[in-house]
Amino acid sequence: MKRKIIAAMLAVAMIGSVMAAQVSAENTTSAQSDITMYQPYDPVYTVTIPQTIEIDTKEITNVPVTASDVQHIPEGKKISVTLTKGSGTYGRLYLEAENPDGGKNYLMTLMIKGTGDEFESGALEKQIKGMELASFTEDGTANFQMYPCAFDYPGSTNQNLSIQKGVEYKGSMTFGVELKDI
Amino acid sequence: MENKRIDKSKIIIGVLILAVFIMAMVVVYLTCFNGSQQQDVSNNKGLSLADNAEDWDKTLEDLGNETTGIKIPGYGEITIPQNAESANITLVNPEGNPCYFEYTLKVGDSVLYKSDLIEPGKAIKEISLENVPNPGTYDLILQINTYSLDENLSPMNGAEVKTTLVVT
Repeated sequence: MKRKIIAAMLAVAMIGSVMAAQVSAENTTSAQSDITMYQPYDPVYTVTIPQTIEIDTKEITNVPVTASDVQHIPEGKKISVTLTKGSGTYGRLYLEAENPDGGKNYLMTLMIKGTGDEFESGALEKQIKGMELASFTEDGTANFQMYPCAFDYPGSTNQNLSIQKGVEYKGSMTFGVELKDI
Repeated sequence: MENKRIDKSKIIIGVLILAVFIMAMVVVYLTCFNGSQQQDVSNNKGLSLADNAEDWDKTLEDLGNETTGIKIPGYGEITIPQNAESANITLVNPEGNPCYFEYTLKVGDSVLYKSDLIEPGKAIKEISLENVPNPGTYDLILQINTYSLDENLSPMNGAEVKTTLVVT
């Protein structure tokens, strides 16, 4: 019996020493020093896009986009911020709100203007996807503009051409950021 | 005879205490020294925090004037060998951002890398690659999906950063 007990103690002690050695190996510095060097591909500039955009129901909304550290980009290039897509079907840019009466959801198409001269309709995905919203050759802030298409249809009774009161419209945008030749 | 029984009992108790102590050591070892401390930030969206993200303390944290905005990092040309299994590309979520970042690196529809959620102020500095294309020059898209920091992980405005990938 005594031998069995001693054998059990030895076994337990061996397990303990193995565990201790494993822990010790991970926490003990060895005499060897590994030397490494690399230059990682760090970001070279920053663009700040809006966290949220509150579309004004009466006036055109200016939406700021900010670029920083632009001096680090290669010469002859500019930072171009574009609209990649909206959150609507096919990447269309519209807001959606639940109809409290249980009918079809309300949709409100957004009109958008970037560095171009004209507002484009968010319903025409081929025209808005890739549209340049702002460009930067130096640090700064530039605005692009949006407004609900209801502004173009005053007095309309169509539920998607007039802003419904008391409901919250929601949507989102995906921005594109890239360096382009000036 | 009585003394022998007492001795045996003491030895058995000693062994049991030793065993309990070793089990406690194992538990401490697994909790403290095991690297996989990945936190599941969502139980129903399949999103989890990246366990390979490190603190990021470079200058990007001070950039951008819009305190309510989302800072999106931009990248210059990236060169990798075709047989590369990993690359030192810093995928950062700048300090102060109001959201998690999830990066997906794509060439066309081919996904080279997809990250878990990166907290603000942290960065993944080395990524494992797959589907590296043949030698040539490509448009590399760094798709950044953003999610709110609360438990809802609601999608927020995102970005696609385009840069040039040179495969040698």
